[in-house]
Amino acid sequence: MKKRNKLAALITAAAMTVGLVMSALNVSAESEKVLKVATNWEKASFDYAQWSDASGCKVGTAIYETLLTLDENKEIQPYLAESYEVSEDYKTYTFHLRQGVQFHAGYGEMTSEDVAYSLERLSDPDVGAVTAPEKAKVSNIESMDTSDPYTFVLNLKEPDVNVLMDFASWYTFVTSKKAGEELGTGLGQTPVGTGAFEYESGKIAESYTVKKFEDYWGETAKVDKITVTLLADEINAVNAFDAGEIDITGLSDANNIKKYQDSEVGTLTQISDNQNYYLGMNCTDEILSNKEVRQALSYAINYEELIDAYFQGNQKLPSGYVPSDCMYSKATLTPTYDPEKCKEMLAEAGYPDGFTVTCSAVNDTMSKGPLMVIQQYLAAVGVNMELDLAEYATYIEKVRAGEAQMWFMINGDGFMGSDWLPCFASDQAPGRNWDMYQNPEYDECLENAEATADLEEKTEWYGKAQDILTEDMPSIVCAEYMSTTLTRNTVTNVERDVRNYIKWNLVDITE
Amino acid sequence: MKRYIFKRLLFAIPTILGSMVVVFFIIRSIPGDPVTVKFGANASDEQIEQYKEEHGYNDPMIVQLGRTIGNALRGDLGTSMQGNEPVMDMILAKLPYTLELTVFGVLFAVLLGVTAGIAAALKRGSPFDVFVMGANTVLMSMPSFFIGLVFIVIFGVKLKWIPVISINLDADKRWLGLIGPVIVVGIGSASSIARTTRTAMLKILGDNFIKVCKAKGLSKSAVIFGHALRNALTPIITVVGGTFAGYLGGAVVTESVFSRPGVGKLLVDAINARDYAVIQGTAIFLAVFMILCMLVTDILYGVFDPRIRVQDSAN
Repeated sequence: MKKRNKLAALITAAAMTVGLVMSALNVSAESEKVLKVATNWEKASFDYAQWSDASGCKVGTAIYETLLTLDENKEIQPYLAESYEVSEDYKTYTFHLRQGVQFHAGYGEMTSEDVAYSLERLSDPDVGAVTAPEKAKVSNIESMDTSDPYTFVLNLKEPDVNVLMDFASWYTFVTSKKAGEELGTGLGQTPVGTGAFEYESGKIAESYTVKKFEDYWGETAKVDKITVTLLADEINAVNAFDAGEIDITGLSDANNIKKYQDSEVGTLTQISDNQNYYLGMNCTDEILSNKEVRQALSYAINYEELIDAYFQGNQKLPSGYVPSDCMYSKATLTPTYDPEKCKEMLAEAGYPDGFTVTCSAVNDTMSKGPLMVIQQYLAAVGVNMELDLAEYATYIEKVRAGEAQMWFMINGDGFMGSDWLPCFASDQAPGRNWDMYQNPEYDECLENAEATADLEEKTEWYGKAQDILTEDMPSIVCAEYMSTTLTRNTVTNVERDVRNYIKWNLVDITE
Repeated sequence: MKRYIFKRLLFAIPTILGSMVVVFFIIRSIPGDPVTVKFGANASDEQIEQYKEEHGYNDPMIVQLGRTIGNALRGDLGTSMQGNEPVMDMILAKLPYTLELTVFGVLFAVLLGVTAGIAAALKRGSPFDVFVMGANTVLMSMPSFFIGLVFIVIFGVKLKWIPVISINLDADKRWLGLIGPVIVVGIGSASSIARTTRTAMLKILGDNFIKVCKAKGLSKSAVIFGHALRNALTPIITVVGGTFAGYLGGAVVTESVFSRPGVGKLLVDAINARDYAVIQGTAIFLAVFMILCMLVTDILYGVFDPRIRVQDSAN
């Protein structure tokens, strides 16, 4: 009996100890401010060399930083570099680095060697970089002077007036040389940057946690941690939000957006996502090579109805070929619905009875849904549009080869309109130029814009290029894509910079 | 038995090689270029071509096949094109998610299925039997994503008993995240196990040796579990073996609904991105696991049914 009592006392004591430890752990866990973010898509690597755009990583801009940045007026401002000088011939760029900037995980202070390494590694075949080397124009680098640890000098082979903008872009993020040499391709799993948050645990494109970087050179983060979880199906994100397991998520389904419109727990914010819904037309096609036909079809679409009825007001009327918030965007489009004018123009072009076309698209709701509405609009003017739906990989191969008669997709190339406009350049067909559009005048505008360092002149040339597109209509811009974010009301200060990147270090959680 | 196992393992080599060759050609025969998917829709042709040249995607098929097999024989399953990460590391990172779901899912299915099957057989024709068989039919017909979503809404969102997101949980809550996926993945298989158990038990319970056992005065539980169930186990093991093997690569829907990054989801994502190395590596991995599952199933036949052992020795 005594033995039994002893045993019972021992078990009780053990249980109490475990309970106390667990409650202590819970208290420490509860006192932490953890922001929980859901994403529906992410790149498979933290290594920016593996990305084709900065949206590839949800909190990438909180981990890595650039030498320069853009202010709200889209003008270059110092960031990791305190100041910079540009030689008169635009072949030498000197950056005076901020002192005392520390890398995550104890990799030491950032120096000019790290900046040089960050560019050098883009050409390393083992790194397997994607579009970053071309965007950063590493092949134009003659040499890099790192003799002074706080001065980085970039010498170019050929003059380049756009370097400052490059150093404010994600593809020139700075990582630690020491970390890169130690971790190799492991940087893709455990990133090392200078940002306000450092990697803690987990895996990208699954679920991972970044924690506040205490040695951050700027304003330290308000929350202690951010967890990012990939929830590919929106219904999972909605369920997780309702269960209180996430604080921020993107929404695209109109019904889900409607559900939270008058919600007491969450707030919806909509921003232009620097992408448009394009209905592309192959300009080498027998029918669609006729400019009048392409222009005529643009009158067949009831833009306002499409946005109000189908998208339930969650998308925006298109303003131009480059989405409205992008750099160099010019509002050249006036979407007009006039089916009678469309029929007239088709008749003038030799198609009084219409014609049949095939439109390729990805077989998902985001493409198929609006495309089926557009199909009805075209049918009303006598154009029979057959749909060729395929999965993404198959679709992309076909449109890039210039084999699609028409195509439909939400597309864009980030904040820089100058990155997107070459998709209509003659030398990019086939390939990036899905419309197979050719116009030497347009190409010249792009060349002139590239060649000038003067921002006003540059904007003018890019604007002229957009005027030409509006006249030639290689694609019909059906709507501007707006991304919707649902944020729990306890989350405050969700501010974005001019490129739509959330300023994660400012985000806070209140009771 | 040792000879039998050795023979089976020897046969596994051509099976694995064969599956590698078949997967190699199938994935390359479907439209869609992996490098274009990696570089994004708006990359230039030059970038794509340069990458293909540097990474051997322009080499003749036979050279690529030889390289794939050669590397695999050296234990190198290649590097993922999407994440530039060794495929073996990727599989090993996902394996715990898949294994815990598989092991606990099968255990749940076996416990529920065998118990329900035995009870239904013993109460043949009773309302309980009708209920069990009816429930089986309903559960087998319901898609697992539907069961999963209903489960999440009721127990995750409304009652908050289980987490909706079942990964990256604190260690003390990890088991909670496993409850939903295990029940959802196991419930469909439990139905087929219950049906198989019931049928097998009904056949055995009518045999003469069971009457002899009863006549000898053995207790009811000794008759059911010691004699009837043991003899009914062969078809049940077949179903359980198949279920185990199926879960390893086929629990994709459950993994998606509960946002669990398992091996099945890895394979599906890799197919969508045409990530050849990951598809190939995962396929080899799954082939090896399937072969091992089948081998263990065959060995278990002999363990539970001596007649099979005798037959094998005679052969």
